[in-house]
Amino acid sequence: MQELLKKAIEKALNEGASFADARIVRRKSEEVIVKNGKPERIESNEEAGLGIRVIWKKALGFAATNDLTPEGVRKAGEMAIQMAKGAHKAGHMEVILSEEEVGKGSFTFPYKEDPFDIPLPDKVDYLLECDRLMNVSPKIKVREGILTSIREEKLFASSEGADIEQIITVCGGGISATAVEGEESQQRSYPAFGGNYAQMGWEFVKSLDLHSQAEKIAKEAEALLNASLCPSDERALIIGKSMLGLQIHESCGHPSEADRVFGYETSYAGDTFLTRDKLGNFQYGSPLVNIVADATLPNALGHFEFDDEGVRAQKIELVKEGIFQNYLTSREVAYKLGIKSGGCARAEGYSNLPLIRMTNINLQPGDFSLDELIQETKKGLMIEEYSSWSIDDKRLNFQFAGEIGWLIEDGEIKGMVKNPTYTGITPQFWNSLDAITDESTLFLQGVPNCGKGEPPQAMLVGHQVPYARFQKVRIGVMKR
Amino acid sequence: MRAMDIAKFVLENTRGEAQVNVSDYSSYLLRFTHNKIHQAVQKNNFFINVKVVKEKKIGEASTNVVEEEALKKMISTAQTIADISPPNPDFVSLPKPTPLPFAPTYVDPPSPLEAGEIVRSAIAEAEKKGVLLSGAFSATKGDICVLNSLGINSYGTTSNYALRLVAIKDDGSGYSACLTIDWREINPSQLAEEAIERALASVNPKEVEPGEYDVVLLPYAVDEIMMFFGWFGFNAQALQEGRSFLEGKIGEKLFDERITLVDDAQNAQLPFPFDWEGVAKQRVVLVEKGVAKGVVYDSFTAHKEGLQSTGHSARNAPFPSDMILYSGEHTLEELINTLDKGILVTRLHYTNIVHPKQLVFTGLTRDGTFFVEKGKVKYPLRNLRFTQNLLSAFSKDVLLGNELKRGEYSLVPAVRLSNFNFTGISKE
Repeated sequence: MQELLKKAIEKALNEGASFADARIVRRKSEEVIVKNGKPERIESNEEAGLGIRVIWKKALGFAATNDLTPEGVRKAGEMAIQMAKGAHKAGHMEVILSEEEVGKGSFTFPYKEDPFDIPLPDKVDYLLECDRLMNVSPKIKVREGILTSIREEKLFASSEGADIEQIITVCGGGISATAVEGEESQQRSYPAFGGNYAQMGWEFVKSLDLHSQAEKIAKEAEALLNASLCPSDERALIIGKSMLGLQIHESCGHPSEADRVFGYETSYAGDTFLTRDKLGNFQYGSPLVNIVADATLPNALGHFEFDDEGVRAQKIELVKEGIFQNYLTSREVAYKLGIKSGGCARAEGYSNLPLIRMTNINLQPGDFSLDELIQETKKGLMIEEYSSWSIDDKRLNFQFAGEIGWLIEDGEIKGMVKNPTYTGITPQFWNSLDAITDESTLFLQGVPNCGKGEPPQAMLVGHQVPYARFQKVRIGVMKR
Repeated sequence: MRAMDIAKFVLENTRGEAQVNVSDYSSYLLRFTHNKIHQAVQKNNFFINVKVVKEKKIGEASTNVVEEEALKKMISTAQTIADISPPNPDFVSLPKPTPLPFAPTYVDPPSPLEAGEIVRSAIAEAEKKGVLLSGAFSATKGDICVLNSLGINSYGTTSNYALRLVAIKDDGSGYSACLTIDWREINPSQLAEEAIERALASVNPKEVEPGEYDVVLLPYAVDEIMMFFGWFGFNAQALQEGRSFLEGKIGEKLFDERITLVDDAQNAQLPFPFDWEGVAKQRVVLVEKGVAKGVVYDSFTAHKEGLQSTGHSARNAPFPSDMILYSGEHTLEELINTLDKGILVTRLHYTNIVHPKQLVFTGLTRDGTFFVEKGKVKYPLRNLRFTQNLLSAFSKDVLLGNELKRGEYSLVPAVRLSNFNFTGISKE
């Protein structure tokens, strides 16, 4: 396979490219879905191909093919040049890559139990048992469980001499129950909306222990049907688990992507309020806020040794003591900023151009216990799992919703509310943070489908989060 | 091998009841910002999927490797999965063949150099007006083939092309887009003018207090709303699972009497004659003069009710992918004239469902939001967040534009709605 990579790169160089890099990716996945006591879909997928990126007269071109014959990869090299020529003729951004150490090495990321060795009937039975446990009431109209296993083998080479092999294994899943009565419907999920995933083997699914929560979430979904509606006022908001993961993802991770600063996402997902003049001085959050992008965090979905430009994985401070410190960067954007790449160029599969993507965006823990956080809250709302999300094209005005809210009064949880929503403006919200829980409360969220770019790419990213409290948050914005 | 040859090979080598999907597509995209191309990408790929059914036990496998050995391995994997799966008692049968209502059409793509010229023409307009243009030109052509062991033999070539533009002038922005099966229909200069005019009119936006306002939504915004009606209402899976707002309400007048909504592939934004299962797409009336009439089915949901598929399988669930909201009689100017104090919305951004069954959704306006007073556009507005029950928005006092426009999901006119609920402003 390394020979094929070299052939594609050689072809591009022979056609006049000043630089070329290429990836061959082989990906296999297995998905088991059970719905309402029946197998909904059991499927195995395999995909393989090559993607090649070239720079021709400072114009960038990329081509991908599933044809891994010498002729197929030669044509891909040729087509990448054609694309660069098309860009050159129409007027292009000048692309110069930052100088980086040339990456080499072979890496297989560890797991204990190979998820592809677990017999499919065992996986089906596991989910059917979850389904049985969720079947607590005729009002539970939809019960669903999913288990996913992925193995991706990636070879990378470049005209600079990079030679990297990485093999990752991903496993995870989740369950959900939807209760329906009249015009009301309520869903509860575990361990998060859409499940949770890690760079681990079957041992991760075992650790989720879906059976232990199946009955509980179904009963909660049913109880939510007749629960009070989330009040509409301003109060303290405590968020943790996937709800805080989502908050960081949307209001810190995406706005820190430096390609947005240069307008690369203007016409699609939008830009960022974190403009260059804010770097190093902007009060993004309160002094308690420390956020890192950590591609070196083992088991997290955004963990790797080298990114898809061959730049080594790094741990970068995005926000330190509330001040915005760094962007997520690639080689192209790093050159524009006059810095080294942060190693955040990542591509979905073989067929996509690497873009600046999140790795693992984590909020550093504080020193509160969760009990203390609740006890010291006079009037508040706590949300742990998200259900809906929306944010504007500068990443400022957001509105998020959770599956279940817990009202807090005088330091005690007083009961559940349905349709808990909250809204805010990103820097105002993060500056209202006044407490963070300690290391023992950390939750590692794996997001397998972070979307970005045209054509759209889904990326594996992670968030390690404690619980955090925000003051004077506007909650309850849903109107029937 | 060509798509049909691969599909025949897979079907011939699969024992028992089976469905084979093969698509062979090539696509490319030129993406630009600040009047310069920053991304020029191309891909070729196959998607090959086989679904094997053995006594109601179903297994699926897929690959993109076009080699006999890989195809046989895929078939064997699907058969093994079917062997070990528990049966799905609700499964009746794969669909039987139906005559395709029309032949698909396609147009070969321009070369990357020709595509560069299209982009160049749009950018030239922006440069003339001192405006920065961002956007993308995308081109896709594919051969799609579905065979099954009951005689389905559906094959077609399709193409789709799009030019989407966002013009930026200082703090103002404007959007325009054209989607088509024939790239020669795209007029890049005219499209750029539309986005540029909107951007220039959007400079120095003001704020309005959030609250309820009557609105005129351009077709770009209406199209996105149709997607929510499709996913959370007009499909049989949502209805059978009790998740649809239509549960128990088919036959009731839920919408303004001016609303007629059909799913009609032959006259749709990008006509294509068959669905994921190879079944001919039928015309389905979803709403007629405000009365909810029906939903779309795939074979699985249809057989559950003793019906036949309407040809709307989107693989995992039925979806009305070819919705047409019938036009009304008003020009855009007339719709705007009806607003005493209202808001003109070009496009929506990052919409998401908040309450699926009550069809409450949220999102923001983008790239051209204007305050209208006494029927006249007065000034541009900062983007606004809305949180709105769509059923109530379309239930009464709806006026429809007289011109249909192709969107991502549907063919729709501009729409005038009352009391649209804006819940926030986008600002630092």
